[in-house]
Amino acid sequence: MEVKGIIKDKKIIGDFGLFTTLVVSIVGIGIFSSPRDIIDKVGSDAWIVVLIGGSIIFLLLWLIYMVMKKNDFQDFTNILQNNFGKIVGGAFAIIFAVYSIFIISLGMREFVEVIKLFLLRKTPSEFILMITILTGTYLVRGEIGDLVKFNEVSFWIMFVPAIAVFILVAINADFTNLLPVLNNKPSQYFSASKYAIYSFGGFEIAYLILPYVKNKKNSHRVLRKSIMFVSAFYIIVMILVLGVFSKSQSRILLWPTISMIRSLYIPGTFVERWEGIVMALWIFFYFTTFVNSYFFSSEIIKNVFKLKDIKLSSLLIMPFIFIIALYPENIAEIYSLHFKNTPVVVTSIFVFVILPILVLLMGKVKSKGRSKGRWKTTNEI
Amino acid sequence: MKFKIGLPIILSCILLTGCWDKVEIDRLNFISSIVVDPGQDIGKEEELKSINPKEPFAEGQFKKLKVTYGFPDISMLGPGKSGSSQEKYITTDAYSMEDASSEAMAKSSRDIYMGHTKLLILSNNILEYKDTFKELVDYFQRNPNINRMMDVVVAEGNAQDYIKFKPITENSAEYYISGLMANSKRNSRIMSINLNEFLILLSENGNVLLPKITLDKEKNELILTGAAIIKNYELKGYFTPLEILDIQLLSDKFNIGKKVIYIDGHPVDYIISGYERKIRVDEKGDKLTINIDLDLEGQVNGYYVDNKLLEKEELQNMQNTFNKSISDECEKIMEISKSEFEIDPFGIREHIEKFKPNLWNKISGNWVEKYKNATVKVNVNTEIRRIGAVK
Repeated sequence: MEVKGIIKDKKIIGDFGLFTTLVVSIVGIGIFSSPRDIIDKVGSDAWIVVLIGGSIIFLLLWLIYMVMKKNDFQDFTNILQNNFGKIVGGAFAIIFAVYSIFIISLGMREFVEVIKLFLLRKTPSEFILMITILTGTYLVRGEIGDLVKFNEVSFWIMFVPAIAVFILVAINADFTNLLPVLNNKPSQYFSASKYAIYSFGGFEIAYLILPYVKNKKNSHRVLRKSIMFVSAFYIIVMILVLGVFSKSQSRILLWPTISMIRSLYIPGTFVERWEGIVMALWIFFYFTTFVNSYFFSSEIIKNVFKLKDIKLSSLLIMPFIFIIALYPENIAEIYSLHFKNTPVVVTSIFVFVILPILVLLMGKVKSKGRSKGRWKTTNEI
Repeated sequence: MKFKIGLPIILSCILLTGCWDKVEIDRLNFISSIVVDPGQDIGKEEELKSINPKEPFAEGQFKKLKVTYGFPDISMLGPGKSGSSQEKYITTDAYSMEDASSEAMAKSSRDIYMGHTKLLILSNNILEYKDTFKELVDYFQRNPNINRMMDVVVAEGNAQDYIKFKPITENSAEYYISGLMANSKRNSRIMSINLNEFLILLSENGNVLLPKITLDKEKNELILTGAAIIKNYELKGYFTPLEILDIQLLSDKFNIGKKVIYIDGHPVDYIISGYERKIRVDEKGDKLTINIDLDLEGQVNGYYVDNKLLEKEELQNMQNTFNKSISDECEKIMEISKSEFEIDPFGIREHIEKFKPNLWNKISGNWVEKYKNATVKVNVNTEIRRIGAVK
């Protein structure tokens, strides 16, 4: 208990830490595959769908912020247990953790498939999986401060090369492919925004990170900024994929973003096929998402089961990630598990929409009760 | 302490297993060109359809393709040895591209690596077999290890001969053809297309023009002779290099080129250096009218010693003649491609889709018919800005 108290008093994370943690957690494997799904549904309007998705995520993030604010920025498990009682709250927290683990494990498998297809052809999937999980575990065993520092560093490693590559890609892109604008039925935008929202997965890290932020007054502004940054980044990716491949080719490519980088051609350079280096940097895009979600899940498990520290809970989770990641038989099953599986969809709605609203409502009821009680007591006095 | 004991065990798991993807660079064949010819069993497409998918030993019965891989002899390169190296070849008979690469691997002591491939030569004979051609396209699309930036050309006749051709200016045919393609930026009579663009166009509307090369065995010359017209994965016909220039003008891909008219029997060469294209499409009644405006800018580079050009009227006359001649030519080309080949290399369809979505929604159902019957008008506005160093 004492240890916990000390950590809690350590308000160590600055605004930049909050910003980078959110950004690197959100930008994940979705960036590789989501252009295909979205462009398949709405064609040249893909960037509008990202905008819609970004706005929805912003609302959900705002919901998280409200929940945290209402509950004095306690940690996530405490909030749930205070509002719903020890057992129900604990169960909710575990559902949340299981959902996160499930999603990052599927993402892990997709990541491994990408690596296997483009980089390491003969290395066994199990080995790539194990190495990634072990590296992640090493990071998770550190404190949250280490994680945030890692995020701050990776932010630059990820986005500086990415933007440099994008500028080079943009030279050969045909931006008239973005036309026509708004030429779809509203229902198509709706069904496509599902994929856009999924590509924003990872924003729930705000639950973990907000309690440790130094300057909480500024937090909602930082949250807004990070969502805007991610949306802008995704929009750029969509626009470039459309510009380079046009609608019909983007539809059939499994990972249009990667194919786009690979088709990068700069006339006159003596170094050819340097996209191997770029591909290696792209590993970060998944890895940061993975590590942050992994840390968060371990933290929840630790708090619910009152384990001594996160080193133990992360070890408990490790085999599950490995098993779930190996579960899908092929690449088609990963996507059907992720997007067409009703329990997963329902859980995600519960976790991201219903749960925070419930907490807010419970909070209202409780605070009403409390203030009534207080009012009575003051009256009596 | 426990961790310190465990660490070596964990590390040994990671470090002592060896690297699966390790390849020594001298164990690789860097394929520089892929040449696809029809094999002896290419005519048996129908017969192949009767094969039961469950049949055992399906492999190796039909040799549909003859694939040649060209690669530089790396042992000729290195410090102290100058110049580009000689090309070597492996030829395989196979039922598919993947089979060809595994056959090639069985025939050489080295691994096949296609990430650096620069050139894909397709024989025009293979384009006549739609199903096989579709299989080829799928292979190039699906395989992530193939360089999508390689040039694609169609060879007339046996494509294998082309790669073995020894050009005068280069050491190997592959360098020669790649060089020709690179020249397309300086001469719009030459067109070039890379695999990426080729695949995009095929998935977009199935209309592609591929540059065509011809080997003149008597003169020992390898020349670009226009373009092959592919529609719906089928070879429809050819355009000549002069027609290509007009097509590039009409399809907004033009860089630099020349046009000629004859005045009093003397050729006047007009070098086009600046250029802009605008399309307007309207529906009048139930007929489409396609208007293409071309604004050309350039200089006269050759005329006749006694004739003076430094007169405003003289230049105006000349411009008008050019306008008429280029516009007639372009209209003719459009008419041919629209009615005869029913293809649209000009991007008219894309233009309507992008800039007139309402019109597109209306006509997309019977686009082929509409396009075929459309009326075409090409308005050319040439500007002769310079006349060289004399009057």
